[in-house]
Amino acid sequence: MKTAIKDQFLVSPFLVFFLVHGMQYGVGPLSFQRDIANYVGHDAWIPILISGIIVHLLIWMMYMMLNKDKGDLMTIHQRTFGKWLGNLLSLLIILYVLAESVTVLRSYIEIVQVWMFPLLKTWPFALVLLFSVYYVVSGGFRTVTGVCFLAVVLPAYLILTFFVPIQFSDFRNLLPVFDHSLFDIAKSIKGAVLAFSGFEYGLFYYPFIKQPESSQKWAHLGNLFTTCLYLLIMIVTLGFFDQGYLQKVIWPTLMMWKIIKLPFVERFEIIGVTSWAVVMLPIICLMFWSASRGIKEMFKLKQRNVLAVLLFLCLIVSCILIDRETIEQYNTIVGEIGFWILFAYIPFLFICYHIRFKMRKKI
Amino acid sequence: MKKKIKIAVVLLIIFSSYMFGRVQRQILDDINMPSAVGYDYVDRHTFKATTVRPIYRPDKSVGNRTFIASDELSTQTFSKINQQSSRQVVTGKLEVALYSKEVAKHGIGDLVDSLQRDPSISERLFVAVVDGETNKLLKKKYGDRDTGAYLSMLIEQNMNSGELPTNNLHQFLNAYNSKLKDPFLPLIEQKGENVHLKGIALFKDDHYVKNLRQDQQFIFQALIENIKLGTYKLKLKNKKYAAIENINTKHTYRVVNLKKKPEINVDVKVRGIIKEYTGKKTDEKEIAIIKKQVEKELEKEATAMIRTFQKLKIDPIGFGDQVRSRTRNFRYQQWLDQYPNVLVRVKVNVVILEKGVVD
Repeated sequence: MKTAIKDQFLVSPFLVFFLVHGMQYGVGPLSFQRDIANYVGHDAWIPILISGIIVHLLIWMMYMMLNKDKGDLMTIHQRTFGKWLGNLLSLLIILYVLAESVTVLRSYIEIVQVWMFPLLKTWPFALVLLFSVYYVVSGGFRTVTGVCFLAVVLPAYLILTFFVPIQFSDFRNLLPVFDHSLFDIAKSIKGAVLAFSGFEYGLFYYPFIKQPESSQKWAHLGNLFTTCLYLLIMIVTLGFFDQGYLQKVIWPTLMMWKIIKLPFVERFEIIGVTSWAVVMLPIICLMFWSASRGIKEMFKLKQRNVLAVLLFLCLIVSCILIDRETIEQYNTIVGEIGFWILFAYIPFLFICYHIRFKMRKKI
Repeated sequence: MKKKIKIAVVLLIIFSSYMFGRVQRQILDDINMPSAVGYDYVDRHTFKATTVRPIYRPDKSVGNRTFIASDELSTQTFSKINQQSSRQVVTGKLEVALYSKEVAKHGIGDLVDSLQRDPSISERLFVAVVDGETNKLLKKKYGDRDTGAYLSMLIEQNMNSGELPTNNLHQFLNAYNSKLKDPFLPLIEQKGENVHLKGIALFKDDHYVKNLRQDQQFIFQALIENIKLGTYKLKLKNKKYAAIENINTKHTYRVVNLKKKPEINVDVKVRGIIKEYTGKKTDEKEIAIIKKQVEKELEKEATAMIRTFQKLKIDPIGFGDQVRSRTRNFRYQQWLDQYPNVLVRVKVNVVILEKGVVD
């Protein structure tokens, strides 16, 4: 079917832990608390737990398909739906990936603009960031993985900062547990699942892993780590904020950093936001790597040229989104699409693929 | 050819990020960082803002410089202050925000908005109400520090030593935005050369309604948090006085009859050491009397205090949260209607641990 990827371009299976966790842990954790607490108030940690389990299931589905196929999303699509329809679906997914990369980039720039430099223009900052993305992605998948690894390890100290607000927290806020209906919890899962999105890029980078079957446990571990981290953030947030206040705050995590006082720095959130550049960069890198790789596979184009065009598109779109309202609207639309892709399309593909596989066996 | 394009692109990016990507520089020595701000009432729509910033003199002493401006909007006063200042005014180092009683009576909601909206303001900022004009208070210099640092140290020290419940901007905003709780703030007053803590100002939503009597402050604090280091003065029947120090308290809330009409029982455990006693001897009998008396006194104060809260329909202690966290399908409106008639029983249990080195 396809030429195998040379050994020197492959990465070790354990790095999948960093790829999965690094992709999930993006701009979401800075602001996901409010979307969830909107529906379930002080029970907001439950949807996180449930979403974590659902994502484990989705990862399992993903690996079932990939292990059978030994390919990536494009080959799965082609095999399941035929060449034309398959390619069309792959293209749609790639379009979504691009749209998502804009949300990550623009949300981050917005945070920088609101919290640090109100006068900062969007496009020079985006230009510099995307230039570094080009530099990383053109280095190949191994470089992207390296950046992912650094993005998890370097800002790991930020986990400690989530313990600081505890002295001002009242964990009575979390009681009574399970005070909301199942329907409310189901509604809030939508916001929670979006914070977990990022594992689906395994559909793109699977062929680049050495002994890919053995990487499944690392993917699950990565997701487990994300779940625990989100739970910690959520529980501290619920203790720290009163529900009425939480509804007002756009970035609760950044608000929690405001309480941190260090002798040498007055505002800790400046350090936090700056560190977040490292957290967010590999996400955009891997998104663009996936998108450009997909297009390269389908249309047999040169990946670097594709990448340059895609980055340029991303730059233009993120500059069009000017104010809070449009960014919010755009994020909601992309979030909606993303939710259905993760929640409905992956299981749908899983079922279709297996039906197809069974049928082929009979013939 | 390709290489040339690449170099051109890189140069273009460097050039454009250098030309257009720059933001205003703020050098520490060239900005005006007020450490305290105070708001006074002018008329229904306008208020007067006073900011103080420290001046570090070459001989290492610290001076103050105050700026005054009036406007309808809080941020607008800052820009008016900016017009008077030789350096740009930034709010990042603000340590204390003061409201005069008059402003507080008319509602501080609009002014608080600028505090919670501005990302550069610390969540650990202290907010306080001033009995009198903030302008007068801020114009004076106290101690060897600048006024902002002095006030923040004054408030923080009193919170650490158990005179005041901890209450920074974050906790104030939590209570202010809460549906159940009402905020409270420390009340300070200028008296001669000093600023002193006068009590606690109670709010309903964003309006000042009443200040707490000094003798109720101890039990008020004990019901909100576990005091680590408190003091309490007791007047005995035979005109003798006893001072109990190093008090630590622990409260336990119990709520019964949640379904229909909740009743709240609070047990407060007070453990302290007698530091001063004007009676003759502190033997077992005497200590038992003191213990009983303290219990009775505190219970009486608590009941009276809670009664006034219920009359005013304010809940600074957070009884609503205690009930909410124990009730499934909690109905906010029902609780708010019930609150003035809810029975709250406070039971105090005093343990005198030591009585010093003499009998």
